[in-house]
Amino acid sequence: MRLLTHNTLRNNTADAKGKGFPLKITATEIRVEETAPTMEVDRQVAFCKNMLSRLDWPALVQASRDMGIPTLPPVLTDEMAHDTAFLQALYKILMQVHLEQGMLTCPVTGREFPVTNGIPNMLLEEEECEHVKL
Amino acid sequence: MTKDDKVNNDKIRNPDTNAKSFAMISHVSSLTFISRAHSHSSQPNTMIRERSTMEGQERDQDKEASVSFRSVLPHEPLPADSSGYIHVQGALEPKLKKDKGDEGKPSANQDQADYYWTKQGLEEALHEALTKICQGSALQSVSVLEDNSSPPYTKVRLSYSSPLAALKVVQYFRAEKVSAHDLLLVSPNNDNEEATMTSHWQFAARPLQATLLTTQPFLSTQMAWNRSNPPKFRRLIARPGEPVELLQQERQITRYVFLSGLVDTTNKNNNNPPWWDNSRQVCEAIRSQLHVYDTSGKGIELYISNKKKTSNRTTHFCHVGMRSPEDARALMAGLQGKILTWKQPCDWNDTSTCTTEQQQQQQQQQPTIQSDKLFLDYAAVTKRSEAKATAKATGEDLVKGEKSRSECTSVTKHVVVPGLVLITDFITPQEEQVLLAALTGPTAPWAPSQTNFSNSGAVKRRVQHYGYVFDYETANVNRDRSQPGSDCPPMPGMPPSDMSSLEAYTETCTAEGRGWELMAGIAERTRRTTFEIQAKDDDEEEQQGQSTITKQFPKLNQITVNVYEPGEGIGSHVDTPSAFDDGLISVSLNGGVVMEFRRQQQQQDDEKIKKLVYLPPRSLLLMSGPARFEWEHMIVTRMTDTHEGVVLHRSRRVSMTLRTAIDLSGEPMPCVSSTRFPPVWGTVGQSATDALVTPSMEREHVHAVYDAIATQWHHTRGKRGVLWPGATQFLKELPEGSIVADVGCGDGKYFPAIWEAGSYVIGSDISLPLLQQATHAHQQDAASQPDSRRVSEHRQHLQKKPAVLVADCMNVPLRSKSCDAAICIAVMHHLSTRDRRIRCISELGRIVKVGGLINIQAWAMEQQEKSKRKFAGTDVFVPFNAQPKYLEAAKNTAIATGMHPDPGKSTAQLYSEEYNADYDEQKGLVVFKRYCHMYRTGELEELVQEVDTVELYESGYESGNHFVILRVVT
Repeated sequence: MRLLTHNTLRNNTADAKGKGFPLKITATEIRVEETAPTMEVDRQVAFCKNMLSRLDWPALVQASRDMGIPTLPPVLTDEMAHDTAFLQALYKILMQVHLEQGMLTCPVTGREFPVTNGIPNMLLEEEECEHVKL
Repeated sequence: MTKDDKVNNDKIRNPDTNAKSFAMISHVSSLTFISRAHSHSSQPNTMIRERSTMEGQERDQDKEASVSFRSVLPHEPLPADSSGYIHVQGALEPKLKKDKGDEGKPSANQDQADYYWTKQGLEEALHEALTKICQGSALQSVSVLEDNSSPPYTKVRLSYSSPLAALKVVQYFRAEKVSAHDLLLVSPNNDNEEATMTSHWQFAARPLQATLLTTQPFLSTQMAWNRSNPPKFRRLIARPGEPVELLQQERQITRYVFLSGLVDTTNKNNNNPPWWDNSRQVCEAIRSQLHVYDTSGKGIELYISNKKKTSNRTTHFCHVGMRSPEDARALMAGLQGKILTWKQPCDWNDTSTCTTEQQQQQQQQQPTIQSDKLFLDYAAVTKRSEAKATAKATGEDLVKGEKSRSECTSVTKHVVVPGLVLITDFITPQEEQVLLAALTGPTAPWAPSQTNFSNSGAVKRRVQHYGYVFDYETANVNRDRSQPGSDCPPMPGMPPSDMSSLEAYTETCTAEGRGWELMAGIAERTRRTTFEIQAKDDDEEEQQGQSTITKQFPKLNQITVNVYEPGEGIGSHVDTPSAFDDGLISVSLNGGVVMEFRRQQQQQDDEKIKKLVYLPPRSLLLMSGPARFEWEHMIVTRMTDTHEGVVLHRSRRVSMTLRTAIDLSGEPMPCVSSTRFPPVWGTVGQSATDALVTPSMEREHVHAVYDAIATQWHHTRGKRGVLWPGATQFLKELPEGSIVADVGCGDGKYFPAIWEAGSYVIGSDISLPLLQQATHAHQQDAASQPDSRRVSEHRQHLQKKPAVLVADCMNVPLRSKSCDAAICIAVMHHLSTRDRRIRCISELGRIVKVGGLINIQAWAMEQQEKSKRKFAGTDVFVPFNAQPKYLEAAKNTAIATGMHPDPGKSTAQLYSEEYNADYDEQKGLVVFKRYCHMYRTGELEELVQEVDTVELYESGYESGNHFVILRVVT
């Protein structure tokens, strides 16, 4: 699971009341892609630039810290958003760091979701779901 | 064959006749062993002398070498050989008696034995014995068959002047159970000196086996042949040497006719003459009368039941095999109702052989037999009999199943059940398909199995009740719907606005595959039908005006749907009169069946009166008046029915029984109906109200199925990368660098398209095995195409690790507005309730940012002409044929993860038990049933209306699917 994916995940249980985000990462196995992507740097930068508007920055900072990368600045400035070197590094963090095994924990309810072989299991029990009657 | 032999020949036994025609057994015992041993010198016998010369033996051997013998099959008529041959088998050799004094000196006796029991010696001894037994019968030769010159000898062939003479000897052997002891034992009184010698010998008392032989080759079709078995034992296997094609040809052209009333049973004083006990003679007698109908000249097959042997009954019926359908028809027409006189076949009066004058006289006095009015009907081989014959041939045990009984409805044509009305084609084939899809489909409200009142066993058939529950245990209707166990769906009702145009309503429902709505329409059609009912007795009512009355049943308020699998039936019963009013209506779907009616109170004069009625598919049967109250009806449990002489193999029959439940005062109960479809009842209905509770239907028939078939699914579907073109186009048009949620991504077959568009996809699916296929497959792709120019670098990077998560589409675990777009393809048709479909759309609307687009595609009810898929109803099971090789892998992983407790089961067994799948033994496939809801035109759009956060952007139909593109507005 990439950090980009993690940035969108949330706990949907009824208890979390829609605030189960961001999920805290407890990593057991992390895999970092050693080889640089064959993609041109320009395109990596373009991709990241595009993503910036969609990212929840504090969540990303927290998650990267959980994954053992404490280098991300707590606040994203405009300057950084146009800094090629920074964006290239961001691409690495977003796309090339994988959580293989571990646990995701809801910040509100403490509900845990296991990550096995890079696939998080976000399934809920029926009792945990909100009561939906239409 | 030996069994059949007995049938033919045990009947011959008649002590008086035997005493006269054959030598008494005392003659035999007077023969002496020693004298026979010396007979070639002491008693001149021309035959033996001739046989004993070398010349004669050579000639015989030459003749025998060129001729091959075979035993005459029991159903064959007498062979047309010039001589009759018999094969005698058994222990012909004596054993040395173990006397006390002999123990010390056995060698001397042994020497003598060698001398006496040469081939020649035995032949001569037998010749003499047999000549004495059958005085005057022309025994021509005796030859021991064993090649080796040393004893023991066990096989002897006798030759007589004619086959009939030989046959009589065979019958004598069998009747008297002649043993070597009888034939060859020395009488101790005969000769003292010899007696002392022979007393050392002991002969076996076990009967010798005598078989009639013929030199003819195996039967040709030219030969008329009969057999002692009814056609259910008809020949299914070629005889040795007979080409299979010939047998098949013979089987194809032969038509069987059941012929009964051979003997007039009304005359109690009429004792049948003894010759009627002989199957062979009976066959000859019948054949001589029927041969005029055999235009082909290929002969007539005759079968006589061998059951009479055990029950000691005479032959009352037989089966006749005619060599062409035309002959069979002519026979039926010619003999029906006629009375014939059977004469003993003249061959049997032939006095040339063993019969004495007294016997001749006796036979001439044999009375002929008067038949009853003959009854003929077409007959056929039952499935069970075929299975039996095959099992016999292959040595397998026959699986018990169908009873061989099969009756013809035409037999009871003359019986009138007053108040019985059959309307054929009450519903159209199209309506039938739509109804079947609903009644047997995923939304059918199957009632829990109940106990049966009459035999207190469980009701085996699958049953659905509407309106009111019929309790089989009390054989009454549960009038209070609030009581436990009385809960059932209401009657399907029609919207009042459509009541004025019933035909238009049913047409629309049929076209749109609305099975439940159509059921309401059919119920209404039944209520409006005016039945013309024959008045009680046609014969007595001479006035035409009074012969029919008309009736309507507008108060029908209960429907029972029964599923009868082939071989299932229902016991004889009258529907509880206190529970249901007059007028029982049964609509047959899919399969026809013969229903049997019997008078409830049998009167003396109309003993065992019954009526068989064939209910063809799509027909309506009304039982009213006497038919409803005085006649019991039943369905016999068997695999086939005979209708008008044609054997019909039963197929699954779904019957819709419409009745009027009445209260205790006899007034019709109010009709509880609803226009809510599919019918909702009991706990199923309650749980379905919460969208987030997964119905068991989806668990068992969607989630479990995909988990099990994930491997094959990917190999046969996803891997080929056949995408729905509309979705691909949609993905291409998305701005580069979008985050796309693929809800229900399966094995991720749309991922490459998204990556190629420069976007990032997050796939979610409820099936982990499918997701594993997705990651595994894309990793493999990545490894196998490192330098491919066609694949973008972005895709190359991403496909090494696709972003997937296990999640339910009812609860997509993504934060709100986090995605730029979403696709949800081939997911919505697996959601079983309307609420869940709406919930799915609203979840998609939540995760996508304002202004973002959502593409939803789902299967359409309306399939294209050329499509192999046709859906009769909106809610159906779509089969998925799984090959065990794929399942094996899935099973192993399942066992490894501790999902299945019993790894000892075979894969097919495991899946068919745990996943409610069927196992197709012939093809070796496990057939999973996937629940699918087929969307009608406009249905998706209508669902979208229910979700406030999205608006319809585009919608349409494309290659069997409906699609909508939505834009998120808030």
